[in-house]
Amino acid sequence: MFFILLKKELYNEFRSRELILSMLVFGLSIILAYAFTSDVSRVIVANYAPGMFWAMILFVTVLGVHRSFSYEKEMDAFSMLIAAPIDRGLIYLSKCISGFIFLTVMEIIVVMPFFKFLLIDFPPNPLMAVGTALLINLAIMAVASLISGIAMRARLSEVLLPVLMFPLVSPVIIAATKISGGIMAGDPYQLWQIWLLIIGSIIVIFGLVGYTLFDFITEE
Amino acid sequence: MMLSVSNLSKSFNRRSVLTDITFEIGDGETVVFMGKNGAGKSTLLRILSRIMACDQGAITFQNHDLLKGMPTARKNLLYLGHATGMYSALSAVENLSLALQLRGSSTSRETIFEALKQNGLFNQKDDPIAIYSQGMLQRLKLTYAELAQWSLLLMDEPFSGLDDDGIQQMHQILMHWKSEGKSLCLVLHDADKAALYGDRILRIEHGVIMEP
Repeated sequence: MFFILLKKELYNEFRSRELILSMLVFGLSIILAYAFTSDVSRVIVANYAPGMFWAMILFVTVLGVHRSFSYEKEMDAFSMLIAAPIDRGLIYLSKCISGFIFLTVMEIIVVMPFFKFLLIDFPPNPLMAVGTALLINLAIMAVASLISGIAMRARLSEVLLPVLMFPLVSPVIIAATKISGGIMAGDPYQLWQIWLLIIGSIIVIFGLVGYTLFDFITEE
Repeated sequence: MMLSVSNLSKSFNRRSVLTDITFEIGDGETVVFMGKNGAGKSTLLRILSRIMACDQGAITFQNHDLLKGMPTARKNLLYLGHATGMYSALSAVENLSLALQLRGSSTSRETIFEALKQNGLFNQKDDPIAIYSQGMLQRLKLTYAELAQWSLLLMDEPFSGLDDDGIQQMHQILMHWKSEGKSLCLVLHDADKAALYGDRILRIEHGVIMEP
């Protein structure tokens, strides 16, 4: 059943192309703004780059998850979904994994312009950077999908979503910045492993909470 | 007994919408709910289909507790609301295939094509349903109900948005389901239609079922 739900998410995006496109345009706009305003030495930019990158991802995620849940409200499709005889926790997992896929695709496209426009060097260990970025994406989506599920039933969901999401995703963004900063600087794993453990904990905690609570939070 | 509802209550912002609703629907019975706008009819149907939570009460469907039981307890319950309940970016075939798969039914594409043909939607089967008219969306809902397996259908205002042909088609399918001995729970506004389809008519006023 999970794969049917995941296929539905991917099909919807494949047909409409609204989610990745809006994330992409917004992400690239932010990178351009960064590029034209960071008129300082390359060393300073390189120090701030991880924070700038993950802050951009945070804003882009809000756009993405809002769209991912708002098309459920069109034609009341979400009612059909939750009235079906399925474990509603799987809806959360499918939203989480599809969001992870969309975010990763978007990052793959924007990462090159980010490094090129800001004139910063690629990390010395690209495999480590990619592996940790995937984990961070999963953590962001584990939190964002749960918050978006809660916010979608609210009348002012567009306002409520960022208000709830920014404080709750902040620990992920802080940890992500520390991890990426460590990798960019070529620091040994031991110096930033604690932040990776935090990311892992967030994935497990929010994943379990989302899966368990989605049955209750989806009902009107 | 197909469905048994006892002491069901629901309130929004401390305003009571449904109060101590108690009724039963027997096997093969058609129950029609009538009442003014805002009386709580649609809310009741959404609670029965577990889209909306209730404040208190118990719902038993085919001897299973619908509120506390497993999701599979509502396998034979189908809800069709005001809206289409499908994804606007997907085509009719994709939507029907998805909705049926979610209900655990493995219906072939040929069967879906045939049902769409019968309901006059075959030529638009691959178009996104966002471009469908209101009548076409109603017919799509009807196709879904024809293809899905259910024992009790909860249908909110089945005739709204239909043209004369659509009304006739809906009439025929409702009579067909009745003759097949399926249980129906309808929300209707027209008293003549309620008398025609309903084995029992329950009137809701201010969230309370009035005595007939």
